[in-house]
Amino acid sequence: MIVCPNCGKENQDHYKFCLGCGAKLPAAGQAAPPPQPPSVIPAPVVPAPAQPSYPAPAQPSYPAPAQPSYPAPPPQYSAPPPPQPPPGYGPPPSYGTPPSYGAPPSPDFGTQATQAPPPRAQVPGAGPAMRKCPVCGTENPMQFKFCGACGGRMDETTTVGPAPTGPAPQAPPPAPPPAPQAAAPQAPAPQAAAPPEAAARTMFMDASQRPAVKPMTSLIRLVLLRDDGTEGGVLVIEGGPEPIGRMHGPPFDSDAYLDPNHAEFTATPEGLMIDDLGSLNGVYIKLDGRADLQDRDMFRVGQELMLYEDLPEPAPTDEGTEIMGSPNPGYWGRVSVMVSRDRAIAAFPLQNEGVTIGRESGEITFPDDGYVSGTHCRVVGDDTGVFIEDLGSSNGTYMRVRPHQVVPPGRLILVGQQLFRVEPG
Amino acid sequence: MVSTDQPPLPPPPPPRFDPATGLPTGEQKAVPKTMFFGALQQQSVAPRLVVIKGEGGDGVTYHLSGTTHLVGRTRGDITFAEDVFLSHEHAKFSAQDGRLFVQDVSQTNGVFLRIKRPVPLDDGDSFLVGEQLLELDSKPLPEYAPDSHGTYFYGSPRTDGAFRVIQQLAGGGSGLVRSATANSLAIGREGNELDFPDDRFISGHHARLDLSDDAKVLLTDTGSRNGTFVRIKGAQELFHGDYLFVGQQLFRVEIS
Repeated sequence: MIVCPNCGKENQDHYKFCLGCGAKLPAAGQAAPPPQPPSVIPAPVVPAPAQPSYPAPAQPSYPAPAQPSYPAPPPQYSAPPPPQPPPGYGPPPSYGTPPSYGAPPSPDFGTQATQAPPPRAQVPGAGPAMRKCPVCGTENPMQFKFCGACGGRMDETTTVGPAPTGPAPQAPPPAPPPAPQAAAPQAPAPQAAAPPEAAARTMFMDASQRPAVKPMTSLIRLVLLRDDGTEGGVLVIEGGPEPIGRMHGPPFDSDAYLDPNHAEFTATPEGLMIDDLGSLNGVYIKLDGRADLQDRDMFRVGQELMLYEDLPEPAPTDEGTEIMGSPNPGYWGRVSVMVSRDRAIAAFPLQNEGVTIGRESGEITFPDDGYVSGTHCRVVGDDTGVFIEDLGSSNGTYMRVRPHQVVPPGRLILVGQQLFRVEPG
Repeated sequence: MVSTDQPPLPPPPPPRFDPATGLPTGEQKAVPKTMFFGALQQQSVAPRLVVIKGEGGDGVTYHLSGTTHLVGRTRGDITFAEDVFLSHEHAKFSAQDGRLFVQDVSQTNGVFLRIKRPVPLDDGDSFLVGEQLLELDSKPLPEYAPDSHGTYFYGSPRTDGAFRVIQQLAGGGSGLVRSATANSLAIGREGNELDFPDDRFISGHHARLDLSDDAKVLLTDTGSRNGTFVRIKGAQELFHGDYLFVGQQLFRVEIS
């Protein structure tokens, strides 16, 4: 139970906001499990085993070995020089408040905090760790690679900080000259001089410059979206493939739903390519309207994890005997509610045009799952294939990404318990 | 074996109507219904399989006068060539000391025996309710615990159902899966936890499953019209009045 500090009402451990007054609740100081695990699970079970099983790996993994392992584009984690406490994937403050995820107190964060100043201390006393945006002048924390106000590159003209790390900043200089030169014959020198400077400052806004940058190294920003809808830190994927998982440092090191080696993220010109390394829980992409479903695709509706399967074509056995069974009125597939990789607690065969899934209405209902909308989504089949379609649900429908799937900018992905928006670099 | 002097095929049924007059021939009625395996007029009456529904014609009786009798689609003492649900050799009946046993020798579909009293089922056991072939899934769900990598499975919330039932579809593949409500699951055509409203062979309240004290699941027929059948395992003793599904053939066992 969490007692609301505002009105005193008792709330369940996984609530983020008070049911009585709506005030933000402190994360249950005791290990409150994330909202997703079934309520029958005793709360403390999550943090306890996670601790002993991976005490050390998270630490050595990013300060020390990171550098040698990525000679060309150093991973974002190693970008900031050692004095900077947390890895430089973005503003650390947001991760400095793990309670916002309702996650168990993270052993990893705890240990880091003892070695370095606690991240959250940096926000108020921002003095030493701030620098000005070269584009608009707004003060930003040192770790920001992009200005929080205008989106401009923080290290564009500033020579301090992580500028030497990425090849990207060096790419622009060669690019501007060709452009003005092409225009040079017609244009007088003064005019030619202006564009390069403007281009240098607003490089990523200028469409003509983009092709020149992309071939070098693609850049993808993953913006963390907190439960309350605000944006958290930014994880920058530069080139890649970059390993993601519990042993690869924040913000994933305390997420018990991620494998130590969970996936590889690669920035491509088309978006973020995700390679799920056969992980237990995969990476999910939020459905945008409608998508095709293939045999054994998994998707999430509220707290439910569902599996779609094609129904196999009836085939006689080796001896020519037909398989006896319940009459099949024309089922072409089914969706199952999964509680492990291969165990279902419910399954629904699909026939005719398909089924609607919701909390209250539809052929498949989850009346007890408050994260499912009244009418949430549907699975439909026709001559052209099988599709899943979100019906304007509040929390969305998520599909597990397939091998090498590229997530285009603007889409949301679920990595363990954390939600990110994919943005172009 | 069936005695060797047995005719290989039953004689075609004689005409039941006089071709000249069109009147019923009367006398013949009972004759085509009975075929004799083994010697006629045996002293001790052998166990019999009476076809209730199936290819052999309703009411046809097979006398099991030998010690073993094989039933199959193409091989054996009693064959049903048109029954595609039968394996070439499907069921073996053996008589010992006046007792009759049946053994499933099929490769695919098995032999089903109508239950007369509650029967304990194990995980994976199959049973028939009307036209529905259902399989019991009573293996405990995996503990909610990290795997070998220390990772928790991010799955659906669990129900309190102690076991599940999986519908097995004709032609292969699984259909619906339904969890018990706590420790039991009632099955029927309407008003049960698991309903098959389109199955004409299912009674309103047909059968139920209950978790028993010894962690087995008890299958009980709740007064259905057509009965509830379980797939037999190993050799199963048969008694007078038992009903058996072998492929699509429904037999009644008669032992006097």
